[in-house]
Amino acid sequence: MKYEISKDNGQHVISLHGEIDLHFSPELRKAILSELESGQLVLIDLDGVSYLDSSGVACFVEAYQYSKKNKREFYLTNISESVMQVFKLARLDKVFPIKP
Amino acid sequence: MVDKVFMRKIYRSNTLSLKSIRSDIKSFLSTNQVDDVDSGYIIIAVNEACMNIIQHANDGKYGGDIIVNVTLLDDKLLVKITDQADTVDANKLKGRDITNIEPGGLGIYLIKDIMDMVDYDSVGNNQGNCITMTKKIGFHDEI
Repeated sequence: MKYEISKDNGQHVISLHGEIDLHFSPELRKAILSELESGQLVLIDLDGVSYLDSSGVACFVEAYQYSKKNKREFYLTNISESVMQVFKLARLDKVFPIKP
Repeated sequence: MVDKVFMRKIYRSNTLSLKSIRSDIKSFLSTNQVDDVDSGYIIIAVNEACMNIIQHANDGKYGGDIIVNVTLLDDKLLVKITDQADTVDANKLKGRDITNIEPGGLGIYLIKDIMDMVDYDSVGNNQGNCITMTKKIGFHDEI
């Protein structure tokens, strides 16, 4: 698992690649919350994610809650079929803000 | 369908093992003609069960083994995962209410949603815990 952060026009994009599980999710959580704290729009690009477990889902739930509480913009984009499968199982596919 | 086939693997209880566990389960299921849909769900359930051991056994300090047994007989899959951590109270192992949007507590809910039967038991006299999960494969609409 690896990630890259790019910043452009007030938008911070976190691009994720590989499998997100408990080994990586603590680092991911810190990275997402750090970007949200910047106050800029944060877009999580999941195009390269082949697997997501519940600890990874928890990172997004926490980011979603943080963004709502602190009036920040947070979106997920490029969601693969396997990741959407997990969101649907967790009944979160209609909860997370998703950009096409 | 296949005759009875069996996989038994032992892993260290740490987060690095999760990738190997998923890979081994995927390989076992693929070799035995379980389709990608069922395989994807089963990998999620097994990963969550192992993750719970790594994350919660002895407050995350359990560094022993995780033993994964998988049996496939015709269209029925049986997964038995054993640890040697302190015994946990099975009554406390409940998934959270899925309508509450919270960061944690999702793993057990996913396991129970995916598998047909889930049972928690202790091993011997405080010698570990065992989760047994079964799933009938080839019935995708039931999830």
